[in-house]
Amino acid sequence: MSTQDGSLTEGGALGVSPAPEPAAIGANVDLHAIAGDCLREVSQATSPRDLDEVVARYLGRGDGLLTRHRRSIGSLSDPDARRARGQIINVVVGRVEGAVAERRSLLDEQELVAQASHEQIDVTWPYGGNGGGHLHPITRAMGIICDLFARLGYEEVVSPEVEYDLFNFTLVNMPPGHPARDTQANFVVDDDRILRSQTTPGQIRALAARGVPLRVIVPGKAYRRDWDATHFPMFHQVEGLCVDEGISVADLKGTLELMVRALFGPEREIRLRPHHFPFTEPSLEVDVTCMACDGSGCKLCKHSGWIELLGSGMVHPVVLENVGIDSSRYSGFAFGIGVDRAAQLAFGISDGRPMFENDLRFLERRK
Amino acid sequence: MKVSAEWINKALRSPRTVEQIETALVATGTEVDQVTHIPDGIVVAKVVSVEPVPKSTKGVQITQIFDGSTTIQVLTGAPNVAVGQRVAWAAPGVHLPGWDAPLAIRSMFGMPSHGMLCSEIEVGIGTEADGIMVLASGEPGDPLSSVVELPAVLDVDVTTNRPDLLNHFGLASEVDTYYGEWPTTTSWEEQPVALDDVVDVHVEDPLDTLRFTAIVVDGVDPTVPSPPWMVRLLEQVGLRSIDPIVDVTNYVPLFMGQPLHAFDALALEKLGGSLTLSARRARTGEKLITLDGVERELSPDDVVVATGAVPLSLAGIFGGSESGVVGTTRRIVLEAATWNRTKVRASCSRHALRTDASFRFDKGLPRVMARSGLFCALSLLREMFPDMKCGPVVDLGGDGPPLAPVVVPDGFFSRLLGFDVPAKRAHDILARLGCAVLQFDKTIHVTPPLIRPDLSRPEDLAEEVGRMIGYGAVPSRLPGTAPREDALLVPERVAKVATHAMLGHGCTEIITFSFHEPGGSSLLPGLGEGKTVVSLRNPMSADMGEMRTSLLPALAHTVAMNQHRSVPHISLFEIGRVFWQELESPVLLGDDYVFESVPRAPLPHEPLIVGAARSVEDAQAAAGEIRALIARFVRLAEDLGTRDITVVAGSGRGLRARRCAALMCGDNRVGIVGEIEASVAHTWDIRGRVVVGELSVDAMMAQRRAPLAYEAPSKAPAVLSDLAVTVAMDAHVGDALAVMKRCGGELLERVELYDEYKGEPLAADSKGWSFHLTFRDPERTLTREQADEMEKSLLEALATSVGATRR
Repeated sequence: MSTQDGSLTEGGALGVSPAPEPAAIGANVDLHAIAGDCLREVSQATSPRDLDEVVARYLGRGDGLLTRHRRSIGSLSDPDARRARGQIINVVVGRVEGAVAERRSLLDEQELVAQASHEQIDVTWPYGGNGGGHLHPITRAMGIICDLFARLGYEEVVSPEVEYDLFNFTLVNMPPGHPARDTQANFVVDDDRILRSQTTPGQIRALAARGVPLRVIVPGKAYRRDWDATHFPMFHQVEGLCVDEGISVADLKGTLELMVRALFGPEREIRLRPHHFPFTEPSLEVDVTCMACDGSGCKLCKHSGWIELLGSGMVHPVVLENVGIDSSRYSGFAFGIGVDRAAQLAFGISDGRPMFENDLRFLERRK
Repeated sequence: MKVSAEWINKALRSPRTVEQIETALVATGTEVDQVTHIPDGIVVAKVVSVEPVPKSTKGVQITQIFDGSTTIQVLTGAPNVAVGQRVAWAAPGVHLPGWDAPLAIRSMFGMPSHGMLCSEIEVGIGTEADGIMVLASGEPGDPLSSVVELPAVLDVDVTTNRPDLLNHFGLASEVDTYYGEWPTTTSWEEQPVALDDVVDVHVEDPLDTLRFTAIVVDGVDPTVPSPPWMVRLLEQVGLRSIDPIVDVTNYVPLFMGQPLHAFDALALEKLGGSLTLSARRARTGEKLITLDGVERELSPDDVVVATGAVPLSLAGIFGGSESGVVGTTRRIVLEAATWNRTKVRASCSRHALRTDASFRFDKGLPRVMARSGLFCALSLLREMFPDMKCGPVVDLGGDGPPLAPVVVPDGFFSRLLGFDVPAKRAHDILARLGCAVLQFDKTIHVTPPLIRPDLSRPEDLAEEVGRMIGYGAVPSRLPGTAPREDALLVPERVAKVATHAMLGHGCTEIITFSFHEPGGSSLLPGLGEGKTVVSLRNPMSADMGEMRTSLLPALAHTVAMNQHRSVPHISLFEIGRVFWQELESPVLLGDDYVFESVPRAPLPHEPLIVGAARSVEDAQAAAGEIRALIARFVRLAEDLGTRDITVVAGSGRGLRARRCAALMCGDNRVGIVGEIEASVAHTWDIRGRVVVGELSVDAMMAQRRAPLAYEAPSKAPAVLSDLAVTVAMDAHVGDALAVMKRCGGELLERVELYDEYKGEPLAADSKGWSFHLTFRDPERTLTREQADEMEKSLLEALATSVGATRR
């Protein structure tokens, strides 16, 4: 009985190994020799499939060589010989099975490595626009403003873009004859209807519909007959309105400070400056510390440190009275911010002209 | 408006620097756009040596200059530089007017150049730009401002409610009040009557002509020069001295605000037969040659000053050429009037004229100014012509009634401004602004001065108090009241949900103008097909005259524009309103509130639309995108709470036949998806194929939102099977799926079309569909036999509805 070196890692000799001749099955066959052949073949299997073939040839349920030898034991008449033969075959099969398991785990591992190398991807492949589309900068700024006021409990209301002259002007304290009503400055549909020149009529509609106390914002488009490097015939505004008992300039300042910081960063400060609007009294222009130079003076702020941002004020008592609200009891603040310019300032867009050109190289910031 | 710091100082209680004046004006509500004065840091320097730069073709020279302490090298291109000159040198760090950045040490031709030698234009003194300034006096190191006089001029922007500030005197009052001074009050004395000449004045309508004052003055002489101080102040704000009479009529409005007009008395007598002036409407057909030499046809809506039948001037706007002061004039009629601002504005726009006078009158000047303006002019003329004689003043209209006192409740200013305003402080400010303040038990009564008719409400007075204290005193606070419940319970913004859906579809947002050329949507009308458009009476330009009824044309144009700029992979969306004129106004916020004068013309409907466009390679990619966009829109509708969207074969002008889908919500078409027809693409210069679609999200919001509900999945096993059928080529799988769902009931958990097959061995007019079917009984285990039964009945249903046969 020869013992076989079962070292599988050495792999055994390469080359074609002769398949074992269909050997006679009988008590005189050297099982160790068969096992030796088998172990060599196991060690030479180069893929799980090779290994499966070897296993089938020696250990297959029906006609595996060792299986057949095990089955032939029953034909031995001598019980002692049967027992001895059985022990040998158990040992041999045990050795073969151990070797197969070891070889299989090695081959599986090799196959994973091979697969990984085969299926390797270049993760630096350009991913292009597959991350989804891009928001227009105006919508981005609009979203910042609207989301802030939603958190503050303001209702967002829709007010028409084609509006009655009455709502756009008369009811917001710009009676006929007011300079801003110049038809050259506004788009006219007919004697009664215009394209709203501001989102302010939304204030009137909201006050009329909801009564007081009230907090609303009116985001949307407005139109003026003006087109140059910094003005477009169509632009975006957000109008804000808060009316209740005891509302003061302090509430206006606190609220607008929040909005300015949401848009331009928590380090921004605001300054209220007297101004004049027909629908507010007092009227206040809001300046913000320059976002380009932090107020130290630069080209953007014309060396003043301040950027003129928006108009605001305490709602004019006439506006409240026009919708039947007792102006001696209620007061409120209102503001209107030009979103297009706010977007330019927030996102460092120095030239406003691309804002409505819809060139994807600008909108998608493609280089 | 340009104002001179020297002139303001003339009217100030205490002198102020330019910076102090600027600070006070900005803080009190008058914007200062620009200040012109000699910048600090420009000094006198002496040229020590000059030598040319050998390499320069433009004649650049190297100069060494002495600035009083050291010698400095400056390179200059000025041809007139010479040794020994006194020049104006701006050191590095100086910020010249109109320059983007301060001067620096520059390297020119490899040599350092420190700052620059200035020409007049660079300093802001004059217009000479060809060479450097050569100074007549000054020692090296002296500030230029001590050697050269440059008046400080401020360009100010007065708000429209303050016509009383359109002059130096008014602005000075603001500055004084801001610094806690009592503003100077100037009154001009009435002149003694030494002449019998009286102008016979007629005012046709006191609503057109609120006040009319006039006087005859004898003994003036336009040929003598105006006093140098007056010439200087006028020049500072850009006016040339003409003659003493014209100069006075220019000076007075700039000084105290009231425009004046001077007539040659002799010319008046010649034209009208006697010294008469009438303020009246122009007669139809009347003409007037204004001082600019233009003959203007007058309208009965114009107010004119006339003598007899001859119009002399367009009231409050422009004088005529026939009655003006000439060299031989010795006797004049001086007129100061107050005109109806609305009439002035209307005449200005009718005649396309704006003048210094109309600029003041169209803001509404207080009547009280007219008489004091007249006296101011007379006192100036008296300085120049001590022997002149004045007739009696004619004054029609008067000051008008005193302004009503404004009653202010105690504590009102603090409540509105949001910080504690001591009553004493408020009273003091109001008194300095010229108000009479009376304290009562619980209120104060404030009577504004006649020049401040804009102060008519407590809020107006609060603004005065607030701006004079300064809004820096206002603390920050957030309104403390609880928000309204209905504001908190609104669902997420529709536009936001839609925006994120389209970003997820890989589209980039565009924003296009809401108007386009008339008929601009006729080729591709989208959801606006058959809608009535809203046209503009005065569009920006002819190609922007119509409000859009669909987003698709602009999306398509944007695709074409980007293609022409060689941008690959174009995928766009826009969310915006379109305008459909219907016979009835839509239901709008606040329209149930009764406004007596709401006009009858209905407002257009303005549905919020989501539009998308994507350029694709070929027909197959287009088909894929059409399906993907339909899926995106249906899913968006579901996210917005609408679950009964059905997709049917549709059609639309400008969209390829048989490749177009309509999205239906009940009987309403709320969406359309398709591929742009080749002819339209060709007309609009679009390359390749473009898939477009639009969805009206407002139409869905009008539906009741279906409540969202989830269901626990069944644990019973499923039976899977496949079903292959053959149908006619034009059969719609949507119909088949609907039938199968109806027939399969709750046991048919899922149907999936996984293949559509055309070609051999099928007949040319038929196609094959293969479905994965998932059967499951939620309650118990379904047997294979039961599933086979189900499949059989599905097949029968398909046979009846779409003529399917098993393949």
